[in-house]
Amino acid sequence: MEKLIETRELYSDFHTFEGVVKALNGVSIVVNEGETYGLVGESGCGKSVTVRSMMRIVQAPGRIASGKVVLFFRAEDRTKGIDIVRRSDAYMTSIRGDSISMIFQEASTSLNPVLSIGFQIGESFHFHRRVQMLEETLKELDAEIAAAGPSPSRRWKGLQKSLYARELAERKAYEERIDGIDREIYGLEDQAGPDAESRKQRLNLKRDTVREHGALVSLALRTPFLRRYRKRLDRVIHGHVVELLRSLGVPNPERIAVSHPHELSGGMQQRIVIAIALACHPVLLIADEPTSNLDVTIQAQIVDLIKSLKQTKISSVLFITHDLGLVAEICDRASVMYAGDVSETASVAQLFKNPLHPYTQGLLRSVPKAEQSGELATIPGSVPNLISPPSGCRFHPRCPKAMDICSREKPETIEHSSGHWVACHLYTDGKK
Amino acid sequence: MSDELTSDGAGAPALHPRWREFGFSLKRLFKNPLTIIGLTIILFYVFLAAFAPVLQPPPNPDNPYLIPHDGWRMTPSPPSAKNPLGTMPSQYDILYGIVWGTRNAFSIGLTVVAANLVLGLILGALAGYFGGIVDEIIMRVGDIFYAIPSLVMAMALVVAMGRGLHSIMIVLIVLGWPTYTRVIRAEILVVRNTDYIQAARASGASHLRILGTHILPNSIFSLIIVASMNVGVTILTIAALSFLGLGSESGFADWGAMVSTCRNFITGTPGNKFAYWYLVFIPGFAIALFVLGWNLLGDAIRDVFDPRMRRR
Amino acid sequence: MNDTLIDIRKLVKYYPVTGGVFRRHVADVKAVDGVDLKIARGECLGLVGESGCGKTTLGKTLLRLHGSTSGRAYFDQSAQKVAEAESMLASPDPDVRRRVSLAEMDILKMEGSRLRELRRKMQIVFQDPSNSLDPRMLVRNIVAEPLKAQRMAKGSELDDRVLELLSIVGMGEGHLKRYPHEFSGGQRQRIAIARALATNPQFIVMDEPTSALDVSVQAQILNLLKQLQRDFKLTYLFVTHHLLVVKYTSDRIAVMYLGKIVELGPTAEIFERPLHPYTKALLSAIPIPDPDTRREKIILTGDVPNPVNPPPGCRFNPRCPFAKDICRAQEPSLEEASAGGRTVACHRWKEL
Repeated sequence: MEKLIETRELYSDFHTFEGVVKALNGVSIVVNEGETYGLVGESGCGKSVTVRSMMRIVQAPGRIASGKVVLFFRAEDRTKGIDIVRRSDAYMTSIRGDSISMIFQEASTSLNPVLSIGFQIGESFHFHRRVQMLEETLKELDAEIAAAGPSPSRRWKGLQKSLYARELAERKAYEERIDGIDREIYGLEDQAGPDAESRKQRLNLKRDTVREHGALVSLALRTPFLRRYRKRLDRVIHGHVVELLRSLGVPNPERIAVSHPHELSGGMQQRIVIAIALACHPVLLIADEPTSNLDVTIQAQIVDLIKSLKQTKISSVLFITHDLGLVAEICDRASVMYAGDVSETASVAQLFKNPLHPYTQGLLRSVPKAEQSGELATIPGSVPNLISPPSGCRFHPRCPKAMDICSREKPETIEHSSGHWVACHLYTDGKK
Repeated sequence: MSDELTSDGAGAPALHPRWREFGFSLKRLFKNPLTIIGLTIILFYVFLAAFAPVLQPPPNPDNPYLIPHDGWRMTPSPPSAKNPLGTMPSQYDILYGIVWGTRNAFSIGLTVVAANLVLGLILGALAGYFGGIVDEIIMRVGDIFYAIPSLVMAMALVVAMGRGLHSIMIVLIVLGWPTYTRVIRAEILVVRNTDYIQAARASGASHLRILGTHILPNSIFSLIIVASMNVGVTILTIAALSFLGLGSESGFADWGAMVSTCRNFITGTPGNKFAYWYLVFIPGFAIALFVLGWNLLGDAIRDVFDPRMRRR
Repeated sequence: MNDTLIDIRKLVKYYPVTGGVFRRHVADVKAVDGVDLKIARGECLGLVGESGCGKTTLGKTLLRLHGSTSGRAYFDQSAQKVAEAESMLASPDPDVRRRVSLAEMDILKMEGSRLRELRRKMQIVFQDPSNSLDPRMLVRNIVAEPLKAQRMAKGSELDDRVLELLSIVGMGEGHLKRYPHEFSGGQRQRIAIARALATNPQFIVMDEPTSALDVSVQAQILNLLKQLQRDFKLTYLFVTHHLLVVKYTSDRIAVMYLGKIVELGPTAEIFERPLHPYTKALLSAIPIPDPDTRREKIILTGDVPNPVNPPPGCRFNPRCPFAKDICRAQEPSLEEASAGGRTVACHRWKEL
């Protein structure tokens, strides 16, 4: 399987009033193309921070301290990755929603309560698929002008056409310029050294400052009466939105597209959030506990939806959850995280049948199962304070199999068997 | 079976937790330079007020608020060795007025705010906790009071009760309680539905107990913030009403009244507009600095006690 | 000693909805719509359902945290007296009805000192431990509060009792003089449990006690609750939406949907052989932490409906994959399904 996105030794810190919270302690995960990858852990383990670092949306006072996040999207060379940690903000904005999409836990707070559903989904199309939308609008206009014949509205349509054509040309030129810059940076990707660094910096700056519209179109966009010409584009986008909703199995898509988030139920809102995420056919969908607040039956619906979408619309899903049952159901591979470390990574079958790390073992034993005999085993103690985390392996104060070395050294991540990685001193002795 | 504490140590901490929390708040307070400025200003005024008898010994110990005057000449005189800040018409000493006026400002300002606090607390607690018809009545009466213009009310009360600072104080208390009531009622509405209140009810606690032990300590902070911001506004309003002649008579050590006494001389002489600058500037500056100090302090208190900003 | 500790008869709780300029009563949110339930002494009855089914409202109404709209609930009364009272109430003669003085027996109508006495025997543990402890009170005072409110102890006796309660839940003296925010979620829930035990109650409503906690802490708290039930001979009403948790803790399970109980029975039987279509769907929707299990999943269509306008007939019929005409026309009542105390409210349970 080909790699899609990878983090290498990612360290993220939060500089709070009470101290520096060392949220991520060298996280390395690899998501391959076409697989559903699960990130499991309890609260405070860093799974949300990992994913937000990957999308570079960690909120201040947090920041990525060191490490790399490498994307392997470029069609030309799937083995050469793009490190996005120090790329420009404009670059990140262009891939979010387009190549990587993210859905969050609370659907009701992910949606803007004062804007209609159709508007919010349309934003994705508007931002990432502008050229395609403009071309369709122009085609529609052309058809209308040809069919209508001479009439007063013809002048207005002609004006619209020229404005749209102008915008299309500018947008194409803009995208070409952006592409050129991106390609240059891509070429410099694996070069190190002060020269290459300074060139990369300059290119990043240029990327941030390229202007999108020329003077005329900017003016037209701002003039109140003239702006009415945009309605045609909005209508074209609306058509796409309704089609997208229909393909997601939303009943009555026309009506839903003009309603507002508060008129819908929780499950439907989460579907809308998924629709927004999928509008531009992302390569990777990141789902941060999307069903934690939903009822069991609605959760089953959403899980079913995501599974069916895996066949058709998205190739890979990165699924964060604390529910081991969901991991068993949806994911192909999974990583278990504890207090900012990745304890174990394996295929789901291996993880459940043969858990190596004591934390994974404890976790599996403390979850009530359908055939539960006897008491639930517990993991004594509680999640550590990440401002002053335990030394060495962060799990050692609670580990039933802790040894001397565990409090001194942080264990390396080694490949215990094919595709099964674990970070524990119990397994490193033989391999060293 | 027991799990460890998030903080260290098996025994109780050395300092009682209430003092620890207080110390924490104080540390945050002093990180802000504006707080220090505000606090300095207020402390300066406190010093003036506390040591007024020493700084400016009153010639008339029975009524120290009567400003001494040396003669009856109408024209005010500029700052000189005898009157360091100048004199007002009828030769009232400005410095004396400022120093003793500080005492006045504190006592009136704090009295009005304190009375408003108590009134607002009681009414707001009743409205917020019991809801229903009690809430409706109190809020609608408050709306009526909001609609009354303060100036007209002040004038009416002065006509009824006679001129003097006590009239102004009553006006401000009577017109100011709706604000405080609203603030605490809003807080109580939020607190009322929390689980710990329901747990207290499930334990059989009486309404009074719940109000006193749970609701008030949790909702009082917004009130303190509003109160501290309001001291400044109150002083300004008192000064304005005094200036309009509704407060004390001339010769009384009250900043607003002092400016009122100098009314005829504010515009100066035909040749020199700023001939009598000290008449307006000095009492005005005293008022402005006082209000600024209270506003800065109120801001700082809000920054510290606002629960949303506590642990960032 | 009576076998049945709690006997609920036709409990109804509606929340009025006001609308229009004059705020007239236009509709009702039918949170609990006629529930009959008996809880035996010493058992743990699990109450499951999704959001909007009324399970939390039922628990809180039982504890008199909400007023009830109608219905009766008897606490620790002999079956004979209850039967007498109920038959008198059902009598068509208004004089007979008036003679029943429910204020003595019906906990939904008790007031004053009787209510306060009752509150010693019934307690509740809430879902979110960060919300259920007063953030401005020390742990010591939080746990002592029920004792103070009930005037059960004071002074050094009070302090001793508080310490005893904390040690029962696995906490110590060093935790007394601290504020709730200094503790983790699991510890806060322990403090809440200690508070619930303060007055030596007989009955505790557990309102989703572990839903806000992490998986590993959940196991600790569930084990603690089980142990406390054994040690102090408590009776639990365990309200939750998590079916595997309720399987671990409860002896019997009642499934609620839109204000009514649709199925009731011993835990093992309900899991082995669910009779009501809703129970079947719920059970099939639980994610099982074992990648090898392959199950037939029943995916329900539509959303959880609004309790303001429950559908006519059987309330589940719009989403039920087995609905027929009779289900849309007539509401099914709870009928006995087998000898072991199994009841189900479905027209077609025999065929499915």
